Amino acid sequence: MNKLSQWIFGLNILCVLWFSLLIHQYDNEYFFIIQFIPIILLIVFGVVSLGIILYRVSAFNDCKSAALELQMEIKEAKIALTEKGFKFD
Amino acid sequence: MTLKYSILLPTYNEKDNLPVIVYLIHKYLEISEIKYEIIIIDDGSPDGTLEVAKQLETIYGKDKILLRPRGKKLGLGTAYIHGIKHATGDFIVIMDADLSHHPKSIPEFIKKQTEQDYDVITGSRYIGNGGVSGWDFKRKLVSCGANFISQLLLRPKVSDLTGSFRLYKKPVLEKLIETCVSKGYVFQMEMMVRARQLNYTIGEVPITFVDRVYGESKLGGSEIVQFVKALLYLFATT
Repeated sequence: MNKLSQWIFGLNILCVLWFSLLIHQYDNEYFFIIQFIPIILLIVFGVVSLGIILYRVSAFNDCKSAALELQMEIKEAKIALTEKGFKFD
Repeated sequence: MTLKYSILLPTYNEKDNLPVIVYLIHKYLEISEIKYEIIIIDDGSPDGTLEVAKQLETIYGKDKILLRPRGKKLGLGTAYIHGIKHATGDFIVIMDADLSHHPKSIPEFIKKQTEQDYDVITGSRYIGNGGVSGWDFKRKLVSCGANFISQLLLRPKVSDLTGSFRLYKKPVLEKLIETCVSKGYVFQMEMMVRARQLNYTIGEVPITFVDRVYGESKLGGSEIVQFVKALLYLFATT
């Protein structure tokens, strides 16, 4: 089963659960909320995802030392290669 | 028997970067006593990359530097196929020739590979000491966002799907290239997804990605469209 089918399968189960709630809980005092469960879940999912992404962006290592080290090594390479007879233009 | 590593360097207009990367590969692999060869696949760069490569061939010798140029720009996937044909190593390392990938990681890849006889080792910017340099907030956001969505949809069990600094067992890379259908840089993502599908073992090593020192960085609208298309294709077919 490919990933698309897995998602459709999962979403179908959720839909069935939600429909059965809608049908059987119409006299429930929280019926108003039950109606909007898919939208609520979607919003929660969006907010959580955004939170995770922003956290990862902020935790993304900024390797300044790696860039500096590379600059040094570029100079080193140019000197060493010139000694070996390489011609830079 | 000592194992040999073939490093594929597809180039296009990298005359400034090529001598430096070759020097660094030599520097880090020589001290680790690793047997290697560098295969330079230049796609007819108008800036004279091939002339630079010829000079390097004279300096380091024909057993270390193999020039396998092609007439015109034919793309990354076919560059690898072309390179593998000429590779004599047991393992293939693929990396960018623009200095965004540092050769000092190659011995770490090799060490990791030997630990558990992995089929593939992939460099990751998202784990441990890995990271990026020279990226602004927007670039990081696009990268993390794209990575989050691909993790969610494809569940590849690999933290960095679009990275292209990797080590493969030669037959594994041959098999994967044969299986992959996408072109361009999304090809890297498909390689990992297919590797999982074919039950190859994948190890990860943290790498630092330093954005291009010379030349233009490539992340535009067309890359994003390509990425989304590839993502949906893999989502629906794997």
